[in-house]
This record gives sequence, structure tokens and C-alpha cells, in this order.
Amino acid sequence: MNYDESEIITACQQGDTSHFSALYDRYIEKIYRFIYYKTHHRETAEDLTSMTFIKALERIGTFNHTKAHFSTWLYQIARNTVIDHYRAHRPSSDIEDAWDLEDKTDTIRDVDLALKLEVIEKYMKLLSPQHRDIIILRIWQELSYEEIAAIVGSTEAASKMMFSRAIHTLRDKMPQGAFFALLFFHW
Amino acid sequence: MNNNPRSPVELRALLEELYSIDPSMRTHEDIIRKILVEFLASTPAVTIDSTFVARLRNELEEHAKTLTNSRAYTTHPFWNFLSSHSLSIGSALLVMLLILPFAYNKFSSDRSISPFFTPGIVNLEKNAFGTLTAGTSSRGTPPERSALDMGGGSNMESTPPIMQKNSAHIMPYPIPPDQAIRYQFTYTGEPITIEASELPVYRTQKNTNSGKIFFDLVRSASIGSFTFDKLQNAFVHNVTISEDRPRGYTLYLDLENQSLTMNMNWSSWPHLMRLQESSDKTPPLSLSDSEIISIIEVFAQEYNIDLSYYGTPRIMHQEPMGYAEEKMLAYVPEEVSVIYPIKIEGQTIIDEGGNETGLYVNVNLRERAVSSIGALQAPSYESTAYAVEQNQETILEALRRKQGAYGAEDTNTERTVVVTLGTPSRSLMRTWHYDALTYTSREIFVPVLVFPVTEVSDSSAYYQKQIIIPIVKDLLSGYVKAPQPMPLDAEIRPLPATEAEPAQ
Repeated sequence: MNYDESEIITACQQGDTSHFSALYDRYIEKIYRFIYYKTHHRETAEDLTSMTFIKALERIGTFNHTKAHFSTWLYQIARNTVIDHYRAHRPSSDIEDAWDLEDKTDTIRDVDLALKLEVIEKYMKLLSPQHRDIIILRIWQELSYEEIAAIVGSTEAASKMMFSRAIHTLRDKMPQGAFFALLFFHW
Repeated sequence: MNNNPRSPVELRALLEELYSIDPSMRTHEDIIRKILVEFLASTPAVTIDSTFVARLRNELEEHAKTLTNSRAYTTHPFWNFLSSHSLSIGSALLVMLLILPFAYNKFSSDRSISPFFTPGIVNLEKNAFGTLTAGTSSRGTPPERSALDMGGGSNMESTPPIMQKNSAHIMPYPIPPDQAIRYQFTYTGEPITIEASELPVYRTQKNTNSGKIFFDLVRSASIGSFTFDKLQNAFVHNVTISEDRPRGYTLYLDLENQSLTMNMNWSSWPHLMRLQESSDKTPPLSLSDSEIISIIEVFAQEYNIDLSYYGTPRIMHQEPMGYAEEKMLAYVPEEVSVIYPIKIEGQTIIDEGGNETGLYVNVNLRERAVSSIGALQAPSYESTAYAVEQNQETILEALRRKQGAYGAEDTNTERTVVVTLGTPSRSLMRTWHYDALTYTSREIFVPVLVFPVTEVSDSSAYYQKQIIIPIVKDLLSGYVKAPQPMPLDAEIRPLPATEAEPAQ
């Protein structure tokens, strides 16, 4: 943890929240991007990002900076906020993010993103929510396994194993025809 | 279509990462490369609205001003967690009781600790466990039989002769009636010095507190007209929990003895439901020691199991039997066992056979996964001091009583096998203390001397590696009076006393 970040957190925990905006500035883009990858919709991502930072501000007194990085704590809040959002709207379904949604007509998604993800979407649906998060965090957000582990509530070694298993799953379940389609589509 | 600027270097790095995690993926590089290329190329280009960023920033600054010091920042994090977490207190305690005793590291005080488990050692008054020898109540008179005789332990000297490898006891060889072997122990080690007149004997703590907490969670439940709240002062003994997911596990939690065992939930591991493939098609499975340990450590981390409490693991390899000779009939081990020795106050625990004992972990070689682990034991012990034998001659006399001789009385041939014993080391032996009043046995750990076998005059008739002698006087006195080993087809006869070799 950066020395100044630790100071800011300590100050916030002691009642001086005037510098919380420094933490906000540092992490707003990463958190927004993470939430967007999971919601596929800009307005939803903005709402959930707002909720994430408000929760972080209100609960910063509970954060123990000797046990974890602030960024991973923030990611955890973001992840849980997304899950809560989808489960609140569909309490009878085991949905954690937009990847779990089946009915496209009922899904509010940005059109340009939908087109871009059209090919891999069906394969992301093959993965568990935790494996999807690891794919997103490792490949799209380029986080280290240590950071990923803290976010998903696991360990570094286990996160590596889960990443490996996710790729295994995709390898096993992707039909060969799709590979050739990908090859033709991109090359 | 895809103008993502992700570089080939990133792709290579991701591939090498995967290979370091699972080398077998290298054989599928073509497919995996395509998968990664697709994901890299599909990385969404995200542009955050600067207006939104500024607006949220202002909102947060305003919100921060409304938060007071006393409400948000001066309450203890523990109470904040309880008040904001969605779990009930009972459920939170349930989680703590399941996880924390086994995640407790070296009795450190910086972890959250359930008030109902007390990791560590509670020192009791002297001889708090009563008489350690069996056959009487723990408050009775010294018995005539060794404590290693009832209640789960085994007095090898009074059990019928059976063949056991790696036993520290003399396991009688099923000897034909025309042959007899007399074992003679010769001690050539250093003078035996035990400086303390008393040493601690340990036993695991038992309590019903955690069981009562579990019962409180179901107290208001009912089955038909039966309601649990009619039970008085009730507690749960054990709980079985299964994960409902692919490759899940089943947990067996013994609340009273604070132990936990986990096994594969077999129905969720489809490959294990198949019969083992024929040996002529499947070569013997093998993993390196480091791979085996790594599998265990990943598992331990996934379930927050702290292995640092245990000693250095020992892998018990099993070689395929008969594979070279006849593959169809060969036994090819599917699993390998690893022992993580228990330690109490730095002393490794051994069983009555002289082998390290502790946490047993089995690894399935085909699934490359832990198949079972147990028993995880909360490091909660009681300790009480007992007088120990300090006289070398008395200890050597106990050794002589273990020599044994086997064969028919009318044998025409009798040969003596000389077993040379070296300087003993100290250890703690796991055994059982039987209480005749309550008809229960409890596991105890007693100080012993472990005499290594340094030489055998005829190794074809002897395979033990060490001889174990307890040094607690209470146990040793009963040990000295133990009955002689009983051969299969001979009458009991007393051994002539032999002189121990003087120490060199």
C-alpha cells in the first residue's frame, strides 16, 4: 500500500474525510470499468459505481489496511454491489451479472458492446461467476493474481488454479466449429 | 473489426502463466492460444464520462461532511461488521466455529477467536487425568494391566501375533512349531538421563459449548409435532455438511472433540464413479513430491486451513505392484497419502507403532486433487504433570520385558536374535486412557523414550525400527507387569532375566 494512501485512510477513519476524494480519483476508472464489464450498460455502471464509493466512504472505518489493499477492498464492494443489483431485480434467479442474463430482449445493454462481445458471450456464459470474474480481472483489467485473490476472496494459488480451470472449461466446451469461425473472423 | 492494441508479449506471458500452473496445457497450445487471442481482442474499450466523474466526486464530498466521527469512525470494526453484515450473529458464530480453530496459527493472539474454543494449552493440577493405567476408573488403584490394552489402543504384547511392518513392537512371527526365536535386547547407547522428575501429559480438550451453540440454531425447529425446544440442555455432537457443486466436498465436524474431516463428495466427481481403467491402457500415475504438496497447499488455501501448525509433511509413496510383470493384474495406486505430523509444544507426536501421526491428506493422482483430509484438530489441549522414571535400570528392565520369545516348548532348535538398541530420543506418544467408570476412552499424549534399532543379528526375523518405552511412572509400572507375548501355539512361560549390556 502506498504510504500516502495509508495516511488518507487513517485520516478518514479518524474523522477527516476531506481527502477521500484522492482515493476516489485513484480508483474511479478501474472500478467503473470493472462494473461496466459486468453490466454492459453505461447508466447501470454509473449507478453501481456511485453506490460502491458511497459504501466505501461510509464503511471505511471497518477497513483494516494492515490486512488488505484498499483497491482490493474496493473491488470487493463493487463486485458485491453488482451481485446485489441483479439479485434484487431477479430474486428467484441465481444471477450475478449481465453475463448470466438469458433473454436479450430483457437486457439493457449498450449496443456497441453487445456487438463486440457477441462472439465470446456464449463462452463466458459457460463459466461460473467466479471464473468469469477471474477472466475479466486477469485478461481485461490485467490485475495480478494477488489482487484477484483478495477480490474474489481466495488465495493467490487458488486464483491461478481457477484461471487455469476456466481456460480448461472453455477448451473443453468450445465446439471445434467455433474455433474455426473465430479463426476466420479475426484473421 | 478488432483494433485492440493488446500485444503479442501479453499473449505469451499469459500462456506461460498457464503452463506454470498446469504444464499439461502446453499440449493444447493451439486451442488455448485462440481462446486468449479472442479474449484479448474482445477487451471492451471503456470511456468514462467525465461529467459523471465530477458529479460523483461532489456528491461524495458532500456526503462525507454529513458523516460524524462518533457514528462512522470511532466504533470498533468488530461491531461495525456485526451491525452491517447481513448474517445473523448465530450464523457468523457458526462460520467462526467452523473455520477459526483450524486457521489458528501458533497460538497467535491477533486473530478473531470464538469465545467457545480456547486454542492453546490449559495447565491443570498434577495428575489431573487420574491413574493412567487401564482397567480401573481414573480415580482407582493401580491396575494389573497396561494402559495400552483397552479403549482403542493396543497392547501388542497381549494381542495374538500378527505380521505388521514398521511396528515398533515385536510383532510375533507366526512361527512353525519346530522353530523358536528368542529376542535379546542389547543397549549400547549413552547413559539415559531424564533431568525432570515430572513431565506433562496432554489430552485434547472436550467441551459441549460449540455443540450448544449449534443446537441454539435449530432450537425453534420442529419435525411434525416434535419440537427441539423440548430437549433440555441439549448440544449437537457432530454435523455433516456437503457442498452442492461439481468437485465438491463433504465435511464431518465433531463438535465435542473439535475435529474436522473432509472427503470428496463422490457423487459430484463423475470420473471417480467409473471403474478404474484397465492397467494395460493406463500407465501408472505419478506426481512429483512438489506437485503433491502444491495440490494440498492450494486446497488448504481455498478452505483457509492453516497447515503451519503441523510439522514437515511426509509423503507415503506406494509403488505399483506387479506392473512390470503383468499389467492386467497390477495394482496401480490411484492415491497417495501425506502425513502432516502433529506437534505439541514442539514435540512431534508418534503412534504406538513409532510412526509420526497427525493430519492425513490423501491426494487423488488422476484428479490431481485432495480426496480426503483429516482429522483437522483444534490445537486445544489440557496438560497435567506426572512423575516420570529417572532410573536407567528401571527403564532398561522395561525394555527387557519386551524382548519376547516364541516357539513351542518341545522345539529342538532355538536361536537367539540379538537386537541392538541405541541412545533413545524423547517424544510424545498418542495413546488412549480408558475410564472404567464411564466406559469411555480419551486420547492422551504421553512422554516416551524411542530406542532406535541400530543392529540385528538376523534381520530376516526382525523388522522393527524402534522400541518405545513410556517413562511416566504410572504407565511404566503397569507396563512392567504386562503379560508376556502369547505365541500362537505355546504356553506362557516367564523369561529368564538377562543382564543389560553396560553402556559404552
